[in-house]
Amino acid sequence: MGTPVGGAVTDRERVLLELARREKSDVHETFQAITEASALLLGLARVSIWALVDFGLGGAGEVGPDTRIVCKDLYLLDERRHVSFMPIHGRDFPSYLRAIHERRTITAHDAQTDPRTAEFAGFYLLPLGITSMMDVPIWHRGEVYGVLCFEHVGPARQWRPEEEAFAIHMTDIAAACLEAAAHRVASQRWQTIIESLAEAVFVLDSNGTLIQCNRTARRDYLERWGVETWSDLVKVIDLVDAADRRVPATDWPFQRVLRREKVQGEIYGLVFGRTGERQYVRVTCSPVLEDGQVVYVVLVIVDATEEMFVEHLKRELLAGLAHELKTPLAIAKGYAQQLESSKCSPEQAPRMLDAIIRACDRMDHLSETLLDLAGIILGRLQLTRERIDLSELALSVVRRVERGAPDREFRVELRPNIPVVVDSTRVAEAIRHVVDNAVAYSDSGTRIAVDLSTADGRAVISVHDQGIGIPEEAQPNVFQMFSKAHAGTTHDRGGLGVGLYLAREVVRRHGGEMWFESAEGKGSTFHLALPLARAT
Amino acid sequence: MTPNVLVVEDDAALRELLALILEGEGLDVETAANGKEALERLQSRPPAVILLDMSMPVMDGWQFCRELDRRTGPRPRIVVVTAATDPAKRADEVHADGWLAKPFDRDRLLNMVRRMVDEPR
Repeated sequence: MGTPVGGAVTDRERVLLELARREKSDVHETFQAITEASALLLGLARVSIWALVDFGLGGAGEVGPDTRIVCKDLYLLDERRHVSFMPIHGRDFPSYLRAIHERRTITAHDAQTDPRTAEFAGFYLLPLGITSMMDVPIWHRGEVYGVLCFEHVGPARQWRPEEEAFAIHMTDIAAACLEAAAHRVASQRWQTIIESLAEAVFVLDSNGTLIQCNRTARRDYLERWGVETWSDLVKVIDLVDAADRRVPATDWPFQRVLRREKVQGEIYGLVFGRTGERQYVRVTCSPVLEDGQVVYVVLVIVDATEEMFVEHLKRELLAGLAHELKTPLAIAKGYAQQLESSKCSPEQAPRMLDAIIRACDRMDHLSETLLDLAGIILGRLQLTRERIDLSELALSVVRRVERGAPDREFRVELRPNIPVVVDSTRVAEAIRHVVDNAVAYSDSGTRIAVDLSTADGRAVISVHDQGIGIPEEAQPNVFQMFSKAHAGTTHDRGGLGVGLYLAREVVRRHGGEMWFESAEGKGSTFHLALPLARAT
Repeated sequence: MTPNVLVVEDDAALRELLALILEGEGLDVETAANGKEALERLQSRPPAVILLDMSMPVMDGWQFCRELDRRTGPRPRIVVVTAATDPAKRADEVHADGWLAKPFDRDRLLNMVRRMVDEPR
């Protein structure tokens, strides 16, 4: 072993350099590299790394009664291989551990008599023929992690200062490796937490380049919109605020955070340019600062579509309700006051009473609609099933609607005795929604045909009108809540926009299905299919 | 000539009721189911008072008033009949002369129409 001379690079320096440079991702591999290189370079019979592990309640780094000294790696020079060694009890080697804990390197030229290492003589040093030991503590985060052991077999060896320096360098490399591993575990822990979040997390640099994102972000945004980068995502979506106003690119949360504005839980709508598909999100955006400069922006996005739907529900429903309720109320009150005023002849009375009854019936239908809606939205719709004749039920519904629409020509062909086991109130409401729509979206004098057929164990009620029909682009949304195909047009017939949604939900809960055919300007046919009752 | 009232309301039952009440007071009543029909009725005989529902298919109350303002000649008195929570605001929006909130009171309806018929503009 030569000493470093001038500019020449010694073997030891070269090995140290190599070890220092290597990727310290794997603690075990690094430890093996340290023991092997040390043994080969210094000609040592045994080089090992041991960890102090406390199995008791004592704090880390303290030598408690349950401290074990656990072999992490042992390289045997003669055999040119790495082996392990059984753990030993710390309590049997108090002088040794005390010396190690004083942060001192133990250079025992005569290990069998040195007070710090003599404890090992009987069971370890003598049997293995070890004469000299040099043990250097390995430090990790302010505490002794373990020890690097050089063990010499043969005539006692005088440890030289450069050998001690070399050993200390080796423990520095071991410490760096432990630090890297701890850091990796910590960052993996964060990574795991962030990956498993239901919120989408994007990390961007100040140029808007995507640095990192989690699984939710990839799945719900990048993959969903078919893009790979943040800049592509920004190209395919438009941002609108909660009031549906377009947000200019300079006012997007990312840009505002760069200007050091606060973006905390704000609601935005993402509008996918190609299809107009819309999603509402709650956005929180925070800067990561370095020397007062924004280096990264962390964007956390939570889906708020449902939240906005509830908002929408409240708005639409409350506004619609007032209108839907007040008209029949005005009719009932007006006729009642007219009857009271004695301004009417006795022969007018039956018609007025009939009008009052019909107005009450409308209000009843409205309250049933609200109850059904609440039941379905809250998942509390209870069906009270009974065996009934569907044709009878359908007929009573049609007759009720017919009374309020004497100017339509109703053609009803209902085969009698169609047994079904259903909640008759709910199903009557479902049929009512469909027949009401046939009236609402057709003109005076047109025909509304209702028939009932059976096939494949199902009863199918079909309601055909000669009305304005449903535009093709509106057809996919017909059964959605608040979707009114003609909303805001001259064909808007008012109403809450929940009828067909409710009808289909009720029919589906009975194991049935609804569908329709429609041609704009010609009319629509809606079908309600329900399973027939099994023969009794 | 008997004063003429035009009832513009899309709900048939309510339309009939309004006509019935007003006819009972000796008024001459015409009806229309929406703004478009109402404009057609205006051609034949301009009414003294229009009872106007706001939310109607085909042509709503707002559109009807805009069309009305394009025409020459005196503007009939307009009474807005609405289910809105702020009927006065609705009336303001179309420069109406009065409003009735649904469900309206029969006496208030008659007093209002009677007053407007008796006090021509």
